[in-house]
Amino acid sequence: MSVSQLLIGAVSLAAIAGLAVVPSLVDAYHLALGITLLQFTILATAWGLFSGPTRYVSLATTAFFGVGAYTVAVLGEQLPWPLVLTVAAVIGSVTSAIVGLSTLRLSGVHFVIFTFGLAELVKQLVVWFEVNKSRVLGRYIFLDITQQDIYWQLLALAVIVFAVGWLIARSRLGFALRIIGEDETVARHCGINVTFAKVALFVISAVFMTLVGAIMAPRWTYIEPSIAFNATISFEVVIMALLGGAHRVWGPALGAIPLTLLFEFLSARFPNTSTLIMGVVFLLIVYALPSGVVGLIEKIRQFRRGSAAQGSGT
Amino acid sequence: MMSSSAPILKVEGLTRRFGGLVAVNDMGFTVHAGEIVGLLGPNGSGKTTAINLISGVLQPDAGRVVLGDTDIAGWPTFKIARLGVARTFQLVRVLDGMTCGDNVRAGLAFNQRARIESDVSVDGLLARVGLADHNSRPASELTYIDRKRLELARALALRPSVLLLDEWLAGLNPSELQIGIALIRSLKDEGLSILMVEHVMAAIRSLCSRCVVMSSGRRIADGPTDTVLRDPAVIEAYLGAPEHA
Repeated sequence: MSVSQLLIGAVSLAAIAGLAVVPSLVDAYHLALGITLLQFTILATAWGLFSGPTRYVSLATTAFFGVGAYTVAVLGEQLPWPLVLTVAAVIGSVTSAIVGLSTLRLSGVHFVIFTFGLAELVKQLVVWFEVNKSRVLGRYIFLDITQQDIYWQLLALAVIVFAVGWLIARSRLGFALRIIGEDETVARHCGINVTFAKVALFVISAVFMTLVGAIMAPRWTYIEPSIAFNATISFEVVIMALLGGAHRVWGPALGAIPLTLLFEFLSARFPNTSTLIMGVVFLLIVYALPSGVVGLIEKIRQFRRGSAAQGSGT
Repeated sequence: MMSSSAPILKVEGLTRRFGGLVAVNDMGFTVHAGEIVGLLGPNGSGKTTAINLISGVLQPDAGRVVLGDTDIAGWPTFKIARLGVARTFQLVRVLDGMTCGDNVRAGLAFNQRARIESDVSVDGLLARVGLADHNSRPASELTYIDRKRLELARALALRPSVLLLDEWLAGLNPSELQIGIALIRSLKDEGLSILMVEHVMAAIRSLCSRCVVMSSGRRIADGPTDTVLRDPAVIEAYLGAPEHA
């Protein structure tokens, strides 16, 4: 291991330790903000795991998030918590595998529309089931889980999603996905099982989204389909990941953190016009940073290297 | 003159329809070990469709594609590639966002046969096609002929038992063409079996021992290159114009 790798490892550990003690230092408002930050960081990073290398834009985030939340709503009081999370992860992976196998042959805009429709479909299925079978409109979640517990669970999940992303980027699967993102036809002719690689990543990404939904569920105490399956989340996650830059594991986080803070600020300061302002912000981002913050950082680095080389040359 | 050994690639009764159009109609031919077979025909005669059927990009409606002793007709492309069918594309396809080394690694990494061959290396393959010292160079910086070379190196990385070249020599200038012909001949000399779709007559004459000619999806000639190129049916298929007076 090189010195810089050790340094990065040490800084990461220190950062995790620092973040872990945050709940005991801050008030309820800032703890809630911390939870929201972690939630979007994980969702955007998980989104980037699949969509970064493959360049498939998925709007299904809220489908998996909602599946996780509803698993908790239904099973939360019947099973021990770790088992509830496990069941949520299994349901999320099965759902995403079915969706992946049936949709990943679609390309471009068809995939986007389908994933958007999927979230609505799952939501309507839940509504139908609740109204006709269980005969309830919403469900109450009374679990002995504090805001601090939610924060720590999300922090652990964030560490895992970064570790998994880091490992995938270095694996043969990650290499396969980069080739698929470049040229799917070439990938097939290199002997890559394109369908398997895409579905595998789609499932991994969806499991993290499902777990976020499950961990977040106890925060609401009351849940109904329109809360759990909120399409805005899907769009926000895409914008965050694109702002950060989805072609690096740590890219989406660079978009998730500033945008979450911005949303928070806007909705507190301009409650009636925040959506309008956000729309303008999105347009500006797409114009000014087409390859995200990561792209900007890489450009600056290249520029510096270029000017350094010129400087040493003269 | 046919080689007496069993063919590496045998195509029989290969047929593919697009709606009412029969793009490839009851095609059959063979490629033997270490030989270069030219697949000729006017534009739209079904050559690239045939290549796509062999490499699994398209599914045949009927027919057999036998590689060694395995019928691979209708298999998914990635399995066909792993079994040893490599190809290049009519419009050169290079992974522009990656280095030259990673382009070749893409051919090596997902193939059991290639990975266990310890003598196959990225640098070796790059040097093989004339791109030595290009390992860390971005593929997007390459000239046209070097992109063709890189695509060929990626195909060779699969350790193919048969190589499909779809107009690999098209678009090269006269001096590049000589380099390209020499490169393909050197692959043949190493024992590689090649099926090449080509329009450049000089290349066909100097490289192909045998030619198969297609017209409107059908095979209209199959034999030694000189004989085939003199065949009246072949000359007529190219709109009655012999390739030189």
